[in-house]
Amino acid sequence: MRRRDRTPLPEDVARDLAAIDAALAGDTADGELALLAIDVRDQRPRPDAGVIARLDARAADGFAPQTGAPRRRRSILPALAAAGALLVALVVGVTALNGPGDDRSGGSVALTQPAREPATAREALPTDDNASAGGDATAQKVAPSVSEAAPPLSASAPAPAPARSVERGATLALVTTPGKLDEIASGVVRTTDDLRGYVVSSAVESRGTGGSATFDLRVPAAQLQPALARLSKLARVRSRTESSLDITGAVVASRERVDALSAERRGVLRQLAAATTPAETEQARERLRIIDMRLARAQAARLQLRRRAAYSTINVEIATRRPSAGAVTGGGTWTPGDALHDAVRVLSIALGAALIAFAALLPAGLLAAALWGTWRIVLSRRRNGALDGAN
Amino acid sequence: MTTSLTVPLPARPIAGRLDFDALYRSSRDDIYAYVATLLRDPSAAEDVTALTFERALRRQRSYRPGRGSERGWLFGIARNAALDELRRRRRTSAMVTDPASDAPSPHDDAEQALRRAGVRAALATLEPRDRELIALKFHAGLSNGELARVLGLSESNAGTQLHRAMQRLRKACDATP
Repeated sequence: MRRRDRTPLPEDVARDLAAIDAALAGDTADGELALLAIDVRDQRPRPDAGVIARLDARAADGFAPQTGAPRRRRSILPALAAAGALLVALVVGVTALNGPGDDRSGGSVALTQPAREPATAREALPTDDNASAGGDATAQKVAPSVSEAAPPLSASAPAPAPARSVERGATLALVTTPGKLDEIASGVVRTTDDLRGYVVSSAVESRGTGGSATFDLRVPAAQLQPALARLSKLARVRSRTESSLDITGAVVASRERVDALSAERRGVLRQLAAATTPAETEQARERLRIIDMRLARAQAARLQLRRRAAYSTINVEIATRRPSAGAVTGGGTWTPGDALHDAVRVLSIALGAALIAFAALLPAGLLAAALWGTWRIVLSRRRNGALDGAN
Repeated sequence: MTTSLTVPLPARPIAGRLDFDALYRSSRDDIYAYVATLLRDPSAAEDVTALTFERALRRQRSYRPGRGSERGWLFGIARNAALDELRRRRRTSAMVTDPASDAPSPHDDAEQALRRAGVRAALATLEPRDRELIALKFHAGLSNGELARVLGLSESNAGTQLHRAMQRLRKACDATP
């Protein structure tokens, strides 16, 4: 690389160089330096006629590499640099594509493995002191009859392993156009009814240009997959998540607690029958009242667990989105505003793609440039080293 | 540089800025002289001269007029080719010049012949870098600006180094019996 240096030459140096140039130009040959310059010039090697003829022949042939000449070994550094840069680009690109945030993609389906609830009765069931009023209230509802998860305990026979009780649920996010929100909402309710489920709560909000709806559904556990299949056909699925929770331990513990309280109640009834004094009678009745209260809570908790296993929860969210360009159907019109919106969106996507490509190629380009620069420096030093080694 | 070339170069895509045919005709002997001085081997000089033009023809699109003259660009290629040859061969040979120049010219008087023999001997004692500077200046006929571009130096630095090389050559001539 040529260095920029504006430093003027010393006067004597400039004078000598000018004298050399004048001598070489034939202007003057006075002085020792001028004579030396001419003598040196006369030492110039000249190609003989044979060399000239061969060079001219090769010139006429376009200086094609001679077939008999040994091929010069080419450095593999440029190839290695290109390969390295390509590898870096590949790694960066794959990392960018597989990075966190995959939930941005539409139509994702997530499945979770069954989790286990706390197995001990103390962990699983509400105690007498902390049983919530809400729990009592829900216990008043009558759950559909389901088969007992485990056979009743027997004092003499060893208890067989209980059947698993699993609570299943799903969340479904649908996307539709604003004009179809009501139709989709009706389809959700209709599907739930068809599968002998029920709607716990629902909220449908319609606005001028859009709207949204949410549903909290319960369907029989055996109807979960058919329900999801039918609901998914109502609109485009943006995401679908399924979960399951193993509540076998809690179910068994609640049953054992109900059995224990029932046995205790029978004992108190026997004490009441055997009471001979008013004080013993009153004490037995008070004891019986407390046991009845505990037993009611335990049975409510047991029913709640049964219902959780028997019915699956489905949360449905419906969102509306403006139709994309070219997808206008029905009564929708594609206005210049829509066109502007779509154009901006296309530009945004193009810009994003270009940004990702730039991010992937930038390190590769920097690496390639660094390797190329290093290779040039090494090559230059090797060449100058060859000159120093010559004599 | 007095030999005329009548063989036309084959038609090749030319960038439009570079008249390769004219460049070959004007620079062939100068390239050969520079390379021969550097390599001190006429046979290798011929090959490297041809290789220089081969590379230049292939890379003519890389020539940028704003970065120097065509000759400076061509001599840069010649220098790299010659240094590559030196690296490849890793051997040196005695400087061989045109046999005709070894013999005194019929027009030379005895004193002139003696002086030129002394210069030839002094040139052989110079360091390769000094010899390259002198070859580019006196054998290839480059200007100080072109010389600076070939060597990757500033023009003032190139002039200073050339001046020092000439001083060392003068001392070598004085020391030569």
